[in-house]
Amino acid sequence: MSSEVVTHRPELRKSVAAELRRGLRRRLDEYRLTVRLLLQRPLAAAGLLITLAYVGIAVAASFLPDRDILQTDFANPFPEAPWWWGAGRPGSWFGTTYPGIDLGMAIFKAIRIDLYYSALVVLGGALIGILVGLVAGYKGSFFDEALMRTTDVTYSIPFLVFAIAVAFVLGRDFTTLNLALLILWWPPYARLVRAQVLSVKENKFVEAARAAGASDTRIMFRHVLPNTLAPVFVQVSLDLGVVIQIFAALIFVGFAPQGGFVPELGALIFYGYQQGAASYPWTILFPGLALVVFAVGVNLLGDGLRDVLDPRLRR
Amino acid sequence: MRLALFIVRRLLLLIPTLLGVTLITFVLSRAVPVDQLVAIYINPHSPLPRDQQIAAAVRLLHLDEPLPVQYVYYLSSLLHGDWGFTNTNLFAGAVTDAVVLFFPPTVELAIAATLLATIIGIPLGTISAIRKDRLPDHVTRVVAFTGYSVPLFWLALLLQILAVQYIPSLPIQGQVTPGILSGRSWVVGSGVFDSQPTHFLILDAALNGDWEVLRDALWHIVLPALTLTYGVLGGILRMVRSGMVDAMNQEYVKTAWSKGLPEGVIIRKHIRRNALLPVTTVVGLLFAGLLGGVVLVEDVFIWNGIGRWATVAIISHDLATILATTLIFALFLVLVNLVVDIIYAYLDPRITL
Repeated sequence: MSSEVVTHRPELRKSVAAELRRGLRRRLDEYRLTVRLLLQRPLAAAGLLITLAYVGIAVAASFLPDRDILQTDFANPFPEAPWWWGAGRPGSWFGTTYPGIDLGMAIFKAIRIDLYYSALVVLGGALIGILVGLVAGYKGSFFDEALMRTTDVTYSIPFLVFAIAVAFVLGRDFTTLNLALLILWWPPYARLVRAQVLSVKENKFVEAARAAGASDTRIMFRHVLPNTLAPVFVQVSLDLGVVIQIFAALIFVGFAPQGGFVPELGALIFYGYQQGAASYPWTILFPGLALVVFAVGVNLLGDGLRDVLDPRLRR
Repeated sequence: MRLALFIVRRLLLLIPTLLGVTLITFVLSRAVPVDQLVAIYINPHSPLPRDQQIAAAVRLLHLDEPLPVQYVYYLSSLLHGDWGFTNTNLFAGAVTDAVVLFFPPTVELAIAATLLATIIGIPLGTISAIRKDRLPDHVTRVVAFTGYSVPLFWLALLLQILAVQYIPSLPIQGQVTPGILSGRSWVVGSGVFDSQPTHFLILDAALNGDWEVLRDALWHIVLPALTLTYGVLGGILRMVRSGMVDAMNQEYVKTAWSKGLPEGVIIRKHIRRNALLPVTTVVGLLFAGLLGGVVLVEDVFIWNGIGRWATVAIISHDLATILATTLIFALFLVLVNLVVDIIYAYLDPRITL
């Protein structure tokens, strides 16, 4: 209705466009402020840098086909140390792993896979959780009760064991493993968002929007949702570090896709472990370090975001 | 009296949780094809044709009933102690028999790690809070921080590598030196063993006065316990530190300072005692969390507990075992949470029961 009116009155349309631009500029200013505040904190800045570096590696790795950089060498399959390790392979910074694959390149490819799947789990979980939490918190009653009981149940199951059970039943390729993790990953987000919604919806501006005749859907998405997202961003950042570890761990304990070399960090550690951890320590050390550095990075970023996004500390 | 009421209410709340957990394992168990479910009932050498055997097994397991009815049968068989059969290279037989064997080592490991984490965590957290924003605090926070970021199975492997290199006498896998248990009257079996009277090897060795086994078992628990401790230390440190920092700013602490009480007394009696309350919860939850982390650590250290049983089952394609371990872990977690809640309610007079 209102959009029809606007299209017939050019001067009004112009002012709406100006309003939208102003809104967009305000939002951009907020993002810029967030980044500036983050960069002011050395640890958070380091976290941001590490996270961006991993994303960069992942993007770069998707442009390089496996067959070009993961060359197997069955004539000489046993792991060789990096050149600086002592009696290592000249020119190789990270050594090689079984079967004669350059470990640096394998990690390069592996970061892409690990990052992709853990981001899928965390972002997917966050998205489902936000929607469920929003509706449960806003509408309340039966839906709310059902959600809270569901999250209670999922909380009472040790995550890894349950993921093992689900992945076991569903199959053992990356996609089903991902689904198994996703089933478990949204309830905490739903709980987080619900708690936020419960306090945000008591605000005067929600009442004002309702008095102005805004629909429930509009209030939920325009007025309530944006004010609940800060802790979600923090949680997403922290969770990325957890999920990437769980993903690698599941692959390590026996969910590696069958058939050939899989460039995934948990699988890389497993290959090294199979060959003998004590004889070829670098095959275990470097893939694990790649996990640790990423986890430290997103943890630092998450901690920084928590401070920076807190409106009480913001200005 | 009010505590009793609280416990009763908490116990009643267990019912929907347990129903939910069993519903999940039930759905998972029915999500696999029927011939996989009945596979162990099929005898290839039997004169009966395969189809008839499958049909008989389907009837036996009530797989031809509607799903809700099947769920009721499932629950009733769980309550009757019929948890199915496990067939891994560690143990073949009834799941309930296997649990008796695999549960004690896991609990032993979890208790060792919880103790270690508490013993290290509380003093370190105290130092961190007292020397806030100075070097000890920074060091402690780095320790806590990396604890979250290090995959436990990887840490376990690194510790093994280091032990092989630098402390060759430190055992890197197993619960005891192979063969040391043979001829001991109080232990049955060798790889997966059953010790008397409590099934807990370390405790039983002490009870039977067998110092050689006791020393050997304690020596073997060092590395896995250390690995797990590192993983959960961060949580305890963070909790103790923030609790103490909060408490330090309270009015009664200022009063204590102005009364001229000695620093040690203020730290121990006024600050820490109040800061430790939330730590009770964390220690309880850690114990539960350890049971999750234990899966990976047991796998690397060949520690024959529930976790290793579960990982072996993945490779053996043993669904009954996977579901049984899921249920056991969930039941255990639920119980630990219950106990923690009760202890917390008991300790903190402000909690309205």
